[in-house]
Amino acid sequence: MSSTEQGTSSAAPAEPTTAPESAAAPEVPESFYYVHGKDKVVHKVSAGALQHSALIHGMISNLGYTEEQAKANPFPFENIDGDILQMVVDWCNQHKGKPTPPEDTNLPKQKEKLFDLVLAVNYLEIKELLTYCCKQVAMMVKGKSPEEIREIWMIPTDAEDEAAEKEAKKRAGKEAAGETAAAAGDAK
Amino acid sequence: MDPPNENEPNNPTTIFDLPDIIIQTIFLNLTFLERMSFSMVSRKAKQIMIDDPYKPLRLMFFRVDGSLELRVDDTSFAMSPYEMSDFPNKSLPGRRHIKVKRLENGEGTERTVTKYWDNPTGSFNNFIKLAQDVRGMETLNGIIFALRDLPCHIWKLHDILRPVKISEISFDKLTDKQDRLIYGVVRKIIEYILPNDSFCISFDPFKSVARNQTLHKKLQKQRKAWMSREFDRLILYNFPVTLEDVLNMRSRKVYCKSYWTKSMMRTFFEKWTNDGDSRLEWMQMENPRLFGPDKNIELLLSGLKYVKTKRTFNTENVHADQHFHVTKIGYDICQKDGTLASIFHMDRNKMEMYVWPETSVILSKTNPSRLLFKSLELHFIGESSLDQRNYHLTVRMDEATHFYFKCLFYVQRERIDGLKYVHTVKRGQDSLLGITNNIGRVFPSNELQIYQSRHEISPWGSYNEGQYEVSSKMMDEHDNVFVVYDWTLIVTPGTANVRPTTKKYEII
Repeated sequence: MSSTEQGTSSAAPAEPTTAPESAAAPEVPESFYYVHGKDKVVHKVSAGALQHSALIHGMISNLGYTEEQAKANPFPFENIDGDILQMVVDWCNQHKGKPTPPEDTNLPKQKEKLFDLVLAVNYLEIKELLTYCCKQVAMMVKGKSPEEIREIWMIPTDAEDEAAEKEAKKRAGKEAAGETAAAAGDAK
Repeated sequence: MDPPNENEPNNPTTIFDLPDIIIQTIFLNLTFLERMSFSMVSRKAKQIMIDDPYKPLRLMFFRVDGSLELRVDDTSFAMSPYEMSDFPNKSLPGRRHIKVKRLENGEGTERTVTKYWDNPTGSFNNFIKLAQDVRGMETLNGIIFALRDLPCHIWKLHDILRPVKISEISFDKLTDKQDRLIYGVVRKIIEYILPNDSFCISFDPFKSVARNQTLHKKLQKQRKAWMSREFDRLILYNFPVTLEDVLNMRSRKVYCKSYWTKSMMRTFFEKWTNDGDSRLEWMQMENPRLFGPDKNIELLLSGLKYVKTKRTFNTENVHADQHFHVTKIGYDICQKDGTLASIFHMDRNKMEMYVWPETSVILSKTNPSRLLFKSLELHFIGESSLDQRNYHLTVRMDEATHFYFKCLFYVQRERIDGLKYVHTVKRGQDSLLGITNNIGRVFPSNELQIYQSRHEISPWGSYNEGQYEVSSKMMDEHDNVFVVYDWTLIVTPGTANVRPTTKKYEII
């Protein structure tokens, strides 16, 4: 997807032209909202496109913001990367008011992006996109051997898992020791 | 989704970071084999697959030939021996890597190929164990190992099968250059691996064994022991059975082929009726001599007590484990203990023998009929008299007399659908009327069933006086006649209902 590369560029404009205002001229003026991700880049999205996301739709349904208010209060999604949010916004704009196609070929092919996208889409509760993404993730390992699946899905080996567990235990032990020391200091 | 902890290193997102419900949605798009492959990636992956609540698939079919075929819920996967040996994890025991040099295209192009299939036994066993773990199955019910054109000594078949609990097995065109190896493998499987019950086995490999004199003798020795094993299903496609084989059989369902003569067939039926210890529930026998489309099964049963009955059978295709209904004319014979079997012509050259399950209501053990008729009573109001000469009943009745019938009978063994009482009246050569009284569906019971017909009036007027021939019948919806009785009615001029007296005649 070309928008993936675009989205990763940090020099994105403050107001990307993801939702062309002149594309449609409805009789009732369409309301727009603003969202931003971890990179603070604000994306302008129409209310119709945001209907795909059950989370955002629930948030905006009773707000009744004016254009100025919406611009002044963009919705923050700090846990979603900017480029991923850009992809989601693009998808919502593309499928605004359209019947959802059976397959979406515009999804990213890179596995790192795809898993992040799945997490973001799950958070934003976009049901159709989530279904496509899950299908895409499954398609990555169709007809692959266990070794290939490990590489594609970046699954750590048993040894790596054990090492990670040991590290996590060590860290937890250190934290616990630090907490007890702090508690003892407080008591003194 | 929680915001990422800044203290933690920024690792790329993996599939394990996804919520459980998402992982399960992803796995819904994977086939059984892909799930199995995933489970082999690591211990964590395997645990995820074990915990996966969605386990709709059931391992149904294994075929080992030039390739391994797995059929799971009508979806089949085929793998070459190379792929198959690649299938288990490399860390699993039971596989070795060998470098093989071979010539391709006959032009001397040398290519190095890595082959893993030198010891498939271990791989296969590991695969089975994994399948059991991952799919949560204690036993792999419904596995059929069909061996087609496979040199069986390579695969050490009996070693492969030993740790697996198999419910069904079929040897399909098992071949080897040396017949003794086939014989050995099959013998070991039958004697040491196959448990009693829940089995489907075809003895086709013995067809080739039978050509070898020495092995043939060995087979004859074992034959009786093997035939008397208590299999669930015994399917012998191309291995003609002898009368002794069938008499020794202890399997529940049998499909076989024979070249028996009429007298052998009759002997079998006689032995079956006298045998109180038979486990046979279903048998389909192919015999072009006896059961062709123009052949009559009735002739084979001459000398035996049987009842010809048309009814709907719940038969089955034992090869595909499918049940279906057929409506056929069958011949019911019964054993001394009251067990009933129906024999009917199936299709082409096949005969089917269906042994009915035990029922609690058996009133007459030696009578295969479903309806035990007690009596037919004629009740009427008015003048009448009865005259019985030479076993033929004649009833004299005044004109315009009201009368009705009462049927008294028992029903045993199985229900009768659409039971009806019918009587037809003739005068001379003219058929005057037929009256049908529907009784309906009657279930087996120890109690006497009584059916009373509608009130009828005997003809009146001088024109209608005279003699009528009446035929009373009890039959079911398939026109199986249970009882038929012909009698004569003579209508005399009289004064019916002047002196109303109720009388009853038991006409049968």
